[in-house]
Amino acid sequence: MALFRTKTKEAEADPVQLEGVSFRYGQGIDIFSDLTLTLPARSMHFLTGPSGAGKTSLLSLLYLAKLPSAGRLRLFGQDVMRASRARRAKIRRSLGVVFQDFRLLEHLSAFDNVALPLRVAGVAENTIRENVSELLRWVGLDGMFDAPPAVLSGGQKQRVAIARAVVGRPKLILADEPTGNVDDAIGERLMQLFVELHKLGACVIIASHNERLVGRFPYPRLHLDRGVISVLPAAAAPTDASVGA
Amino acid sequence: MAQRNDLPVAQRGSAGRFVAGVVAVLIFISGIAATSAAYVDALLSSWNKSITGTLTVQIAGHAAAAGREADAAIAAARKLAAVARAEIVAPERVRDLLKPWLGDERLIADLPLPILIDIELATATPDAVASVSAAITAAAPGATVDDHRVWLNRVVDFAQGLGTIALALIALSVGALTLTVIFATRASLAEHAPVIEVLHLIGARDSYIANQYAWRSARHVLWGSAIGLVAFAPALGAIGWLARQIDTAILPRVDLPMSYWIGLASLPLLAATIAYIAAQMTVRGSLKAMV
Repeated sequence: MALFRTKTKEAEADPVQLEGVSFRYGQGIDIFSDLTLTLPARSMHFLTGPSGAGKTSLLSLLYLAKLPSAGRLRLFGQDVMRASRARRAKIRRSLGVVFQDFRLLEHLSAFDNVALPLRVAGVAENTIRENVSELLRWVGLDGMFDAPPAVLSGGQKQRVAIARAVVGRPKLILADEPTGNVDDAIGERLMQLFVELHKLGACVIIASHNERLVGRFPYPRLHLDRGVISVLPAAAAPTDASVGA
Repeated sequence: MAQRNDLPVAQRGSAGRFVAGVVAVLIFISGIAATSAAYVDALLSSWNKSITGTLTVQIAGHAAAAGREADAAIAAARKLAAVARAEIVAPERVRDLLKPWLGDERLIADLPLPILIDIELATATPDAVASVSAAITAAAPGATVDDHRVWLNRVVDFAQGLGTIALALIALSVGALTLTVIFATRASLAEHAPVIEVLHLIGARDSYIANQYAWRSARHVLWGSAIGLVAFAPALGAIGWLARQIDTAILPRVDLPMSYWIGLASLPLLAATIAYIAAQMTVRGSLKAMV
Protein backbone atom coordinates (compact mmCIF):
# COMPACT_ATOMS: atom_id res chain seq x y z
CA MET A 1 0.00 0.00 0.00
CA ALA A 2 2.80 2.37 0.95
CA LEU A 3 4.67 1.47 -2.23
CA PHE A 4 1.55 2.08 -4.29
CA ARG A 5 1.11 5.52 -2.73
CA THR A 6 4.73 6.49 -3.43
CA LYS A 7 4.40 5.46 -7.06
CA THR A 8 1.22 7.45 -7.48
CA LYS A 9 2.92 10.53 -6.08
CA GLU A 10 5.86 10.14 -8.40
CA ALA A 11 3.63 9.84 -11.43
CA GLU A 12 1.90 13.10 -10.54
CA ALA A 13 4.03 16.06 -11.66
CA ASP A 14 4.41 18.93 -9.21
CA PRO A 15 1.87 21.59 -10.18
CA VAL A 16 4.33 24.40 -9.44
CA GLN A 17 8.08 24.37 -9.80
CA LEU A 18 10.19 27.53 -9.85
CA GLU A 19 13.96 27.34 -10.35
CA GLY A 20 15.89 30.58 -9.94
CA VAL A 21 12.93 32.59 -11.19
CA SER A 22 13.29 36.36 -11.49
CA PHE A 23 10.67 38.79 -12.62
CA ARG A 24 10.56 42.45 -13.54
CA TYR A 25 8.27 44.64 -15.59
CA GLY A 26 9.99 45.68 -18.81
CA GLN A 27 13.42 47.14 -18.09
CA GLY A 28 12.55 47.95 -14.45
CA ILE A 29 14.14 46.52 -11.34
CA ASP A 30 13.49 42.93 -10.27
CA ILE A 31 10.29 42.49 -8.28
CA PHE A 32 11.89 39.28 -7.05
CA SER A 33 14.88 37.29 -8.20
CA ASP A 34 16.30 33.79 -8.02
CA LEU A 35 13.14 32.32 -6.52
CA THR A 36 13.16 28.55 -6.09
CA LEU A 37 10.03 26.81 -4.91
CA THR A 38 8.22 23.54 -5.44
CA LEU A 39 4.58 22.99 -4.55
CA PRO A 40 3.49 19.37 -4.72
CA ALA A 41 0.12 18.16 -5.91
CA ARG A 42 -2.70 18.23 -3.34
CA SER A 43 -0.98 20.95 -1.28
CA MET A 44 -2.61 24.10 0.00
CA HIS A 45 -0.84 27.33 0.91
CA PHE A 46 -1.59 30.87 1.78
CA LEU A 47 0.54 33.48 0.04
CA THR A 48 1.26 36.37 2.37
CA GLY A 49 3.53 39.38 2.51
CA PRO A 50 3.33 43.16 2.69
CA SER A 51 1.78 45.20 -0.10
CA GLY A 52 4.13 45.56 -3.05
CA ALA A 53 6.10 42.43 -2.10
CA GLY A 54 5.16 40.86 -5.41
CA LYS A 55 2.33 38.48 -4.46
CA THR A 56 0.21 39.48 -7.44
CA SER A 57 3.26 39.38 -9.73
CA LEU A 58 4.08 35.85 -8.54
CA LEU A 59 0.49 34.77 -9.10
CA SER A 60 0.51 36.34 -12.59
CA LEU A 61 3.52 34.16 -13.44
CA LEU A 62 1.68 31.11 -12.16
CA TYR A 63 -1.46 31.81 -14.21
CA LEU A 64 0.68 32.56 -17.25
CA ALA A 65 -0.21 36.20 -17.72
CA LYS A 66 3.53 36.90 -17.62
CA LEU A 67 6.70 34.94 -18.16
CA PRO A 68 9.74 35.00 -15.85
CA SER A 69 12.54 37.36 -16.93
CA ALA A 70 15.01 34.66 -15.85
CA GLY A 71 14.97 31.15 -14.46
CA ARG A 72 12.69 28.24 -15.18
CA LEU A 73 9.01 27.86 -14.41
CA ARG A 74 7.34 24.48 -14.69
CA LEU A 75 3.64 23.90 -14.30
CA PHE A 76 2.54 20.27 -14.08
CA GLY A 77 6.06 19.35 -15.16
CA GLN A 78 5.92 21.43 -18.34
CA ASP A 79 8.42 24.20 -18.99
CA VAL A 80 6.16 27.14 -19.77
CA MET A 81 8.92 29.10 -21.53
CA ARG A 82 9.29 26.34 -24.09
CA ALA A 83 5.63 25.46 -24.41
CA SER A 84 3.78 26.40 -27.61
CA ARG A 85 0.87 28.84 -27.42
CA ALA A 86 -1.60 25.98 -27.77
CA ARG A 87 0.15 24.09 -24.98
CA ARG A 88 0.07 27.15 -22.72
CA ALA A 89 -3.66 27.52 -23.42
CA LYS A 90 -4.08 23.89 -22.36
CA ILE A 91 -2.09 24.48 -19.16
CA ARG A 92 -4.30 27.52 -18.40
CA ARG A 93 -7.35 25.30 -18.66
CA SER A 94 -5.93 23.26 -15.76
CA LEU A 95 -5.81 26.41 -13.64
CA GLY A 96 -8.53 28.18 -11.76
CA VAL A 97 -7.84 31.84 -11.09
CA VAL A 98 -9.76 34.21 -8.83
CA PHE A 99 -8.64 37.72 -9.74
CA GLN A 100 -8.56 40.40 -7.12
CA ASP A 101 -10.73 42.62 -9.33
CA PHE A 102 -12.93 39.65 -10.38
CA ARG A 103 -12.63 40.37 -14.10
CA LEU A 104 -16.16 39.29 -14.87
CA LEU A 105 -17.41 39.89 -18.39
CA GLU A 106 -19.97 42.66 -18.03
CA HIS A 107 -21.97 41.71 -21.12
CA LEU A 108 -22.59 38.16 -19.89
CA SER A 109 -24.94 36.92 -17.18
CA ALA A 110 -23.63 35.37 -13.93
CA PHE A 111 -24.42 31.95 -15.40
CA ASP A 112 -22.54 32.61 -18.66
CA ASN A 113 -19.57 34.05 -16.78
CA VAL A 114 -19.26 30.87 -14.73
CA ALA A 115 -19.85 28.73 -17.83
CA LEU A 116 -17.05 30.45 -19.75
CA PRO A 117 -14.13 28.13 -18.82
CA LEU A 118 -16.22 25.09 -19.74
CA ARG A 119 -17.28 26.61 -23.06
CA VAL A 120 -13.68 27.53 -23.86
CA ALA A 121 -12.77 23.91 -23.12
CA GLY A 122 -15.51 22.66 -25.43
CA VAL A 123 -17.67 20.95 -22.76
CA ALA A 124 -21.17 19.89 -23.87
CA GLU A 125 -23.93 22.41 -23.10
CA ASN A 126 -26.07 20.05 -21.00
CA THR A 127 -23.09 19.24 -18.76
CA ILE A 128 -22.38 22.96 -18.52
CA ARG A 129 -25.98 23.68 -17.51
CA GLU A 130 -25.89 21.05 -14.81
CA ASN A 131 -22.47 21.92 -13.33
CA VAL A 132 -22.88 25.68 -13.43
CA SER A 133 -26.36 25.63 -11.89
CA GLU A 134 -25.23 23.39 -9.08
CA LEU A 135 -22.16 25.49 -8.34
CA LEU A 136 -24.06 28.80 -8.43
CA ARG A 137 -26.59 27.38 -5.96
CA TRP A 138 -23.73 26.18 -3.76
CA VAL A 139 -22.17 29.64 -3.58
CA GLY A 140 -25.57 31.09 -2.67
CA LEU A 141 -26.48 32.67 -5.99
CA ASP A 142 -29.64 30.70 -6.69
CA GLY A 143 -32.04 32.96 -8.56
CA MET A 144 -29.25 35.22 -9.81
CA PHE A 145 -28.37 33.12 -12.86
CA ASP A 146 -29.45 35.71 -15.41
CA ALA A 147 -28.16 38.74 -13.54
CA PRO A 148 -25.38 40.67 -15.26
CA PRO A 149 -22.40 41.58 -13.02
CA ALA A 150 -23.52 45.22 -13.00
CA VAL A 151 -26.50 44.42 -10.72
CA LEU A 152 -24.55 42.18 -8.34
CA SER A 153 -23.05 43.36 -5.05
CA GLY A 154 -19.28 43.16 -4.49
CA GLY A 155 -19.68 39.93 -2.53
CA GLN A 156 -21.93 38.37 -5.16
CA LYS A 157 -19.45 39.26 -7.90
CA GLN A 158 -16.70 37.65 -5.86
CA ARG A 159 -18.72 34.45 -5.56
CA VAL A 160 -19.32 34.43 -9.32
CA ALA A 161 -15.57 34.93 -9.83
CA ILE A 162 -14.78 32.03 -7.50
CA ALA A 163 -17.39 29.81 -9.14
CA ARG A 164 -15.85 30.60 -12.53
CA ALA A 165 -12.40 29.70 -11.20
CA VAL A 166 -13.41 26.31 -9.82
CA VAL A 167 -16.13 25.16 -12.23
CA GLY A 168 -13.67 23.29 -14.42
CA ARG A 169 -12.27 21.29 -11.45
CA PRO A 170 -8.80 22.81 -11.94
CA LYS A 171 -5.70 21.03 -10.66
CA LEU A 172 -4.16 24.31 -9.50
CA ILE A 173 -6.26 27.07 -7.95
CA LEU A 174 -4.81 30.55 -7.59
CA ALA A 175 -6.85 33.06 -5.65
CA ASP A 176 -5.92 36.69 -5.09
CA GLU A 177 -7.73 37.96 -1.99
CA PRO A 178 -10.77 35.76 -2.65
CA THR A 179 -12.60 36.73 0.53
CA GLY A 180 -11.80 40.43 0.48
CA ASN A 181 -15.30 41.66 -0.25
CA VAL A 182 -17.51 39.28 1.70
CA ASP A 183 -18.61 39.09 5.31
CA ASP A 184 -17.07 36.51 7.62
CA ALA A 185 -19.87 33.98 7.23
CA ILE A 186 -19.62 33.95 3.44
CA GLY A 187 -15.82 34.20 3.63
CA GLU A 188 -15.84 31.05 5.74
CA ARG A 189 -18.14 29.29 3.28
CA LEU A 190 -15.93 30.24 0.33
CA MET A 191 -12.84 29.07 2.18
CA GLN A 192 -14.59 25.77 2.81
CA LEU A 193 -15.07 25.49 -0.95
CA PHE A 194 -11.31 25.86 -1.48
CA VAL A 195 -10.66 23.33 1.30
CA GLU A 196 -13.07 20.89 -0.38
CA LEU A 197 -11.34 21.31 -3.73
CA HIS A 198 -7.98 20.83 -2.02
CA LYS A 199 -9.27 17.60 -0.46
CA LEU A 200 -10.48 16.49 -3.89
CA GLY A 201 -6.89 16.79 -5.09
CA ALA A 202 -6.33 20.37 -6.23
CA CYS A 203 -3.21 22.34 -5.34
CA VAL A 204 -4.44 25.64 -3.88
CA ILE A 205 -2.65 28.96 -3.35
CA ILE A 206 -4.57 31.78 -1.70
CA ALA A 207 -3.02 35.23 -1.48
CA SER A 208 -4.48 37.01 1.50
CA HIS A 209 -3.97 39.98 3.78
CA ASN A 210 -6.49 38.65 6.22
CA GLU A 211 -4.39 37.44 9.14
CA ARG A 212 -7.45 36.20 11.01
CA LEU A 213 -8.50 34.05 8.08
CA VAL A 214 -4.97 32.75 7.51
CA GLY A 215 -4.67 31.89 11.21
CA ARG A 216 -7.94 29.98 11.26
CA PHE A 217 -6.94 27.38 8.71
CA PRO A 218 -4.17 24.84 9.27
CA TYR A 219 -2.22 25.48 6.08
CA PRO A 220 1.36 26.67 5.68
CA ARG A 221 2.04 30.08 4.25
CA LEU A 222 4.42 31.22 1.56
CA HIS A 223 5.68 34.55 2.80
CA LEU A 224 7.08 36.90 0.18
CA ASP A 225 9.03 39.89 1.47
CA ARG A 226 11.73 42.03 -0.20
CA GLY A 227 12.10 39.55 -3.04
CA VAL A 228 12.63 36.54 -0.77
CA ILE A 229 10.11 33.77 -0.28
CA SER A 230 9.96 31.64 2.85
CA VAL A 231 7.62 28.94 4.02
CA LEU A 232 6.07 29.56 7.42
CA PRO A 233 4.50 26.38 8.72
CA ALA A 234 0.99 26.42 10.09
CA ALA A 235 0.73 25.35 13.70
CA ALA A 236 -1.54 22.46 12.87
CA ALA A 237 -0.06 21.27 9.58
CA PRO A 238 3.28 20.02 8.28
CA THR A 239 5.19 22.04 5.66
CA ASP A 240 4.78 20.36 2.31
CA ALA A 241 6.65 22.81 0.13
CA SER A 242 10.37 22.86 -0.48
CA VAL A 243 11.82 26.29 -0.89
CA GLY A 244 15.06 28.05 -1.69
CA ALA A 245 16.03 31.58 -2.65
CA MET B 1 -20.74 25.98 -38.01
CA ALA B 2 -22.39 27.39 -34.91
CA GLN B 3 -20.36 30.08 -33.28
CA ARG B 4 -19.95 31.18 -29.72
CA ASN B 5 -20.81 34.72 -28.78
CA ASP B 6 -18.67 35.26 -25.70
CA LEU B 7 -17.23 38.45 -27.06
CA PRO B 8 -19.22 41.66 -27.02
CA VAL B 9 -17.88 42.09 -30.55
CA ALA B 10 -20.30 39.38 -31.54
CA GLN B 11 -23.18 41.72 -30.81
CA ARG B 12 -24.57 44.25 -33.25
CA GLY B 13 -22.73 47.52 -33.18
CA SER B 14 -21.83 50.62 -35.09
CA ALA B 15 -18.49 49.07 -36.18
CA GLY B 16 -20.43 46.31 -37.94
CA ARG B 17 -22.66 48.82 -39.72
CA PHE B 18 -19.57 50.82 -40.72
CA VAL B 19 -17.95 47.74 -42.28
CA ALA B 20 -21.19 46.73 -44.01
CA GLY B 21 -21.62 50.26 -45.41
CA VAL B 22 -18.08 50.47 -46.77
CA VAL B 23 -18.39 47.01 -48.29
CA ALA B 24 -21.68 47.92 -49.99
CA VAL B 25 -19.95 50.85 -51.71
CA LEU B 26 -16.94 48.72 -52.69
CA ILE B 27 -19.14 45.98 -54.14
CA PHE B 28 -21.07 48.60 -56.12
CA ILE B 29 -17.82 50.02 -57.58
CA SER B 30 -16.38 46.56 -58.30
CA GLY B 31 -19.66 45.54 -59.93
CA ILE B 32 -19.61 48.50 -62.30
CA ALA B 33 -15.94 47.95 -63.13
CA ALA B 34 -16.41 44.21 -63.71
CA THR B 35 -19.55 44.74 -65.80
CA SER B 36 -17.92 47.37 -68.01
CA ALA B 37 -14.91 45.13 -68.56
CA ALA B 38 -17.07 42.08 -69.24
CA TYR B 39 -19.27 44.02 -71.67
CA VAL B 40 -16.30 45.42 -73.64
CA ASP B 41 -14.69 41.98 -73.69
CA ALA B 42 -17.86 40.34 -75.00
CA LEU B 43 -18.26 43.06 -77.61
CA LEU B 44 -14.70 42.62 -78.72
CA SER B 45 -14.88 38.88 -79.11
CA SER B 46 -18.09 39.29 -81.09
CA TRP B 47 -16.33 41.78 -83.42
CA ASN B 48 -13.28 39.62 -83.62
CA LYS B 49 -15.38 36.65 -84.67
CA SER B 50 -17.13 38.60 -87.41
CA ILE B 51 -14.01 40.35 -88.68
CA THR B 52 -11.35 37.65 -88.57
CA GLY B 53 -11.32 35.77 -91.83
CA THR B 54 -12.73 38.58 -93.95
CA LEU B 55 -11.13 41.12 -96.24
CA THR B 56 -12.68 44.14 -97.86
CA VAL B 57 -11.38 45.18 -101.28
CA GLN B 58 -12.14 48.69 -102.41
CA ILE B 59 -11.85 49.84 -105.99
CA ALA B 60 -12.45 53.48 -106.74
CA GLY B 61 -12.42 55.39 -109.99
CA HIS B 62 -14.38 55.56 -113.24
CA ALA B 63 -17.27 53.11 -113.20
CA ALA B 64 -16.25 51.10 -116.27
CA ALA B 65 -12.57 50.85 -115.32
CA ALA B 66 -13.45 50.03 -111.74
CA GLY B 67 -15.86 47.34 -112.93
CA ARG B 68 -13.14 45.70 -114.99
CA GLU B 69 -10.71 45.81 -112.10
CA ALA B 70 -13.36 44.35 -109.78
CA ASP B 71 -13.99 41.47 -112.15
CA ALA B 72 -10.24 40.83 -112.39
CA ALA B 73 -9.89 40.98 -108.62
CA ILE B 74 -12.75 38.55 -108.04
CA ALA B 75 -11.42 36.17 -110.69
CA ALA B 76 -7.95 36.27 -109.12
CA ALA B 77 -9.35 35.77 -105.63
CA ARG B 78 -11.56 32.84 -106.55
CA LYS B 79 -8.57 30.99 -107.96
CA LEU B 80 -6.91 30.94 -104.56
CA ALA B 81 -7.40 28.04 -102.17
CA ALA B 82 -7.35 30.40 -99.19
CA VAL B 83 -10.48 32.21 -100.44
CA ALA B 84 -13.84 30.68 -99.58
CA ARG B 85 -16.02 33.36 -101.13
CA ALA B 86 -15.56 36.61 -103.03
CA GLU B 87 -18.59 38.77 -103.80
CA ILE B 88 -19.20 42.34 -104.83
CA VAL B 89 -21.14 44.21 -102.16
CA ALA B 90 -24.38 45.38 -103.75
CA PRO B 91 -24.40 49.19 -104.37
CA GLU B 92 -27.62 49.46 -102.30
CA ARG B 93 -25.82 47.97 -99.31
CA VAL B 94 -22.91 50.39 -99.77
CA ARG B 95 -25.39 53.29 -99.80
CA ASP B 96 -27.05 51.94 -96.66
CA LEU B 97 -23.69 51.80 -94.92
CA LEU B 98 -22.91 55.38 -95.91
CA LYS B 99 -26.33 56.78 -95.04
CA PRO B 100 -25.68 57.34 -91.34
CA TRP B 101 -22.55 59.34 -92.19
CA LEU B 102 -23.64 61.29 -95.26
CA GLY B 103 -27.39 61.60 -94.68
CA ASP B 104 -29.26 62.72 -97.77
CA GLU B 105 -29.92 59.80 -100.14
CA ARG B 106 -29.92 62.08 -103.21
CA LEU B 107 -26.45 63.25 -102.32
CA ILE B 108 -25.25 59.64 -102.02
CA ALA B 109 -26.87 58.75 -105.35
CA ASP B 110 -24.82 61.45 -107.06
CA LEU B 111 -21.53 60.31 -105.54
CA PRO B 112 -19.14 58.08 -107.48
CA LEU B 113 -19.24 55.22 -104.99
CA PRO B 114 -16.32 52.81 -104.85
CA ILE B 115 -16.91 49.15 -105.59
CA LEU B 116 -16.55 46.99 -102.49
CA ILE B 117 -15.66 43.29 -102.65
CA ASP B 118 -16.32 41.18 -99.61
CA ILE B 119 -13.89 38.28 -99.34
CA GLU B 120 -14.31 35.44 -96.91
CA LEU B 121 -11.15 33.47 -96.25
CA ALA B 122 -10.93 29.75 -95.77
CA THR B 123 -7.63 30.18 -93.98
CA ALA B 124 -7.11 33.36 -91.98
CA THR B 125 -3.40 33.14 -91.14
CA PRO B 126 -1.34 36.31 -91.65
CA ASP B 127 0.51 34.55 -94.54
CA ALA B 128 -2.75 33.68 -96.30
CA VAL B 129 -4.00 37.26 -95.83
CA ALA B 130 -0.74 38.59 -97.33
CA SER B 131 -0.79 36.25 -100.34
CA VAL B 132 -4.45 36.96 -101.09
CA SER B 133 -3.76 40.72 -100.87
CA ALA B 134 -0.78 40.36 -103.20
CA ALA B 135 -2.76 38.33 -105.77
CA ILE B 136 -5.62 40.83 -105.78
CA THR B 137 -3.42 43.93 -106.17
CA ALA B 138 -1.48 42.17 -108.95
CA ALA B 139 -4.71 41.50 -110.86
CA ALA B 140 -6.28 44.87 -110.03
CA PRO B 141 -3.60 47.53 -109.42
CA GLY B 142 -6.24 50.09 -108.44
CA ALA B 143 -7.58 47.96 -105.57
CA THR B 144 -6.89 48.57 -101.91
CA VAL B 145 -7.21 45.60 -99.60
CA ASP B 146 -8.24 46.15 -95.98
CA ASP B 147 -7.98 43.30 -93.52
CA HIS B 148 -9.47 45.50 -90.69
CA ARG B 149 -6.50 44.60 -88.48
CA VAL B 150 -5.10 48.11 -88.01
CA TRP B 151 -8.49 49.37 -86.94
CA LEU B 152 -9.29 46.34 -84.80
CA ASN B 153 -5.91 46.35 -83.06
CA ARG B 154 -6.54 49.88 -81.82
CA VAL B 155 -9.94 48.86 -80.48
CA VAL B 156 -8.36 45.83 -78.84
CA ASP B 157 -5.77 48.07 -77.18
CA PHE B 158 -8.53 50.35 -75.95
CA ALA B 159 -10.57 47.43 -74.62
CA GLN B 160 -7.56 45.92 -72.92
CA GLY B 161 -6.85 49.28 -71.31
CA LEU B 162 -10.43 49.36 -70.01
CA GLY B 163 -10.02 45.81 -68.73
CA THR B 164 -6.82 46.74 -66.91
CA ILE B 165 -8.52 49.74 -65.30
CA ALA B 166 -11.41 47.51 -64.19
CA LEU B 167 -8.98 44.99 -62.71
CA ALA B 168 -7.12 47.78 -60.93
CA LEU B 169 -10.43 49.06 -59.49
CA ILE B 170 -11.33 45.58 -58.26
CA ALA B 171 -7.84 45.14 -56.78
CA LEU B 172 -8.18 48.52 -55.03
CA SER B 173 -11.59 47.46 -53.69
CA VAL B 174 -10.07 44.23 -52.33
CA GLY B 175 -7.32 46.32 -50.71
CA ALA B 176 -9.83 48.77 -49.25
CA LEU B 177 -11.98 45.90 -47.97
CA THR B 178 -8.96 44.26 -46.30
CA LEU B 179 -7.86 47.52 -44.69
CA THR B 180 -11.41 48.25 -43.48
CA VAL B 181 -11.69 44.83 -41.85
CA ILE B 182 -8.23 45.15 -40.28
CA PHE B 183 -9.06 48.62 -38.97
CA ALA B 184 -12.45 47.59 -37.57
CA THR B 185 -10.98 44.44 -36.00
CA ARG B 186 -8.12 46.35 -34.39
CA ALA B 187 -10.50 48.98 -33.03
CA SER B 188 -12.70 46.26 -31.58
CA LEU B 189 -9.72 44.38 -30.12
CA ALA B 190 -8.60 47.59 -28.40
CA GLU B 191 -12.12 48.33 -27.17
CA HIS B 192 -12.61 44.83 -25.76
CA ALA B 193 -9.05 44.21 -24.57
CA PRO B 194 -10.10 43.34 -20.98
CA VAL B 195 -12.62 40.75 -22.21
CA ILE B 196 -10.09 39.19 -24.55
CA GLU B 197 -7.50 39.05 -21.78
CA VAL B 198 -9.93 37.15 -19.53
CA LEU B 199 -10.76 34.68 -22.29
CA HIS B 200 -7.05 34.24 -22.92
CA LEU B 201 -6.29 33.70 -19.23
CA ILE B 202 -9.00 31.09 -18.73
CA GLY B 203 -7.43 29.03 -21.48
CA ALA B 204 -9.08 30.11 -24.73
CA ARG B 205 -6.97 29.17 -27.73
CA ASP B 206 -6.13 31.96 -30.17
CA SER B 207 -8.41 30.26 -32.68
CA TYR B 208 -11.34 30.42 -30.22
CA ILE B 209 -11.11 34.22 -30.11
CA ALA B 210 -10.05 34.69 -33.74
CA ASN B 211 -12.93 32.55 -35.04
CA GLN B 212 -15.51 34.68 -33.29
CA TYR B 213 -14.06 37.82 -34.85
CA ALA B 214 -13.64 36.21 -38.25
CA TRP B 215 -17.21 34.88 -38.48
CA ARG B 216 -18.56 38.20 -37.31
CA SER B 217 -16.50 40.06 -39.92
CA ALA B 218 -17.56 37.65 -42.64
CA ARG B 219 -21.24 38.11 -41.69
CA HIS B 220 -20.94 41.91 -41.77
CA VAL B 221 -19.23 41.78 -45.14
CA LEU B 222 -21.77 39.32 -46.54
CA TRP B 223 -24.55 41.62 -45.40
CA GLY B 224 -22.82 44.69 -46.87
CA SER B 225 -22.16 42.83 -50.14
CA ALA B 226 -25.81 41.90 -50.44
CA ILE B 227 -26.80 45.55 -50.00
CA GLY B 228 -24.14 46.56 -52.55
CA LEU B 229 -25.43 44.04 -55.10
CA VAL B 230 -29.04 45.12 -54.63
CA ALA B 231 -27.99 48.73 -55.15
CA PHE B 232 -25.98 47.66 -58.18
CA ALA B 233 -28.88 45.91 -59.95
CA PRO B 234 -30.43 49.16 -61.29
CA ALA B 235 -26.97 50.29 -62.43
CA LEU B 236 -26.55 47.01 -64.32
CA GLY B 237 -29.93 47.61 -65.97
CA ALA B 238 -28.84 51.13 -66.92
CA ILE B 239 -25.58 49.91 -68.48
CA GLY B 240 -27.52 47.35 -70.54
CA TRP B 241 -30.06 49.95 -71.63
CA LEU B 242 -27.32 52.38 -72.70
CA ALA B 243 -25.60 49.61 -74.67
CA ARG B 244 -28.84 48.81 -76.49
CA GLN B 245 -29.26 52.46 -77.52
CA ILE B 246 -26.15 52.28 -79.74
CA ASP B 247 -26.88 51.55 -83.43
CA THR B 248 -26.63 47.83 -84.01
CA ALA B 249 -24.85 48.46 -87.33
CA ILE B 250 -21.86 49.69 -85.30
CA LEU B 251 -22.13 47.57 -82.14
CA PRO B 252 -23.44 44.06 -82.34
CA ARG B 253 -25.86 42.96 -79.63
CA VAL B 254 -23.85 41.06 -77.04
CA ASP B 255 -24.83 38.92 -74.11
CA LEU B 256 -22.65 38.83 -71.02
CA PRO B 257 -21.15 35.38 -70.58
CA MET B 258 -22.25 32.96 -67.87
CA SER B 259 -18.83 33.31 -66.22
CA TYR B 260 -19.66 36.98 -65.59
CA TRP B 261 -22.93 36.16 -63.84
CA ILE B 262 -21.24 33.45 -61.76
CA GLY B 263 -18.46 35.93 -60.88
CA LEU B 264 -20.98 38.61 -59.91
CA ALA B 265 -22.97 36.20 -57.75
CA SER B 266 -19.83 34.97 -56.00
CA LEU B 267 -18.62 38.51 -55.14
CA PRO B 268 -20.24 38.48 -51.67
CA LEU B 269 -18.75 35.09 -50.88
CA LEU B 270 -15.34 36.21 -52.11
CA ALA B 271 -15.54 39.41 -50.05
CA ALA B 272 -16.66 37.46 -46.96
CA THR B 273 -13.74 35.04 -47.39
CA ILE B 274 -11.29 37.94 -47.62
CA ALA B 275 -12.85 39.48 -44.49
CA TYR B 276 -12.65 36.15 -42.64
CA ILE B 277 -8.96 35.73 -43.45
CA ALA B 278 -8.11 39.39 -42.70
CA ALA B 279 -9.86 39.24 -39.31
CA GLN B 280 -8.23 35.90 -38.42
CA MET B 281 -4.76 37.24 -39.20
CA THR B 282 -5.35 40.53 -37.38
CA VAL B 283 -6.63 38.86 -34.20
CA ARG B 284 -3.93 36.18 -34.17
CA GLY B 285 -1.24 38.80 -34.76
CA SER B 286 -2.57 40.93 -31.93
CA LEU B 287 -2.91 37.97 -29.51
CA LYS B 288 0.78 37.19 -30.04
CA ALA B 289 1.46 40.20 -27.78
CA MET B 290 0.00 38.13 -24.93
CA VAL B 291 2.08 35.37 -23.31
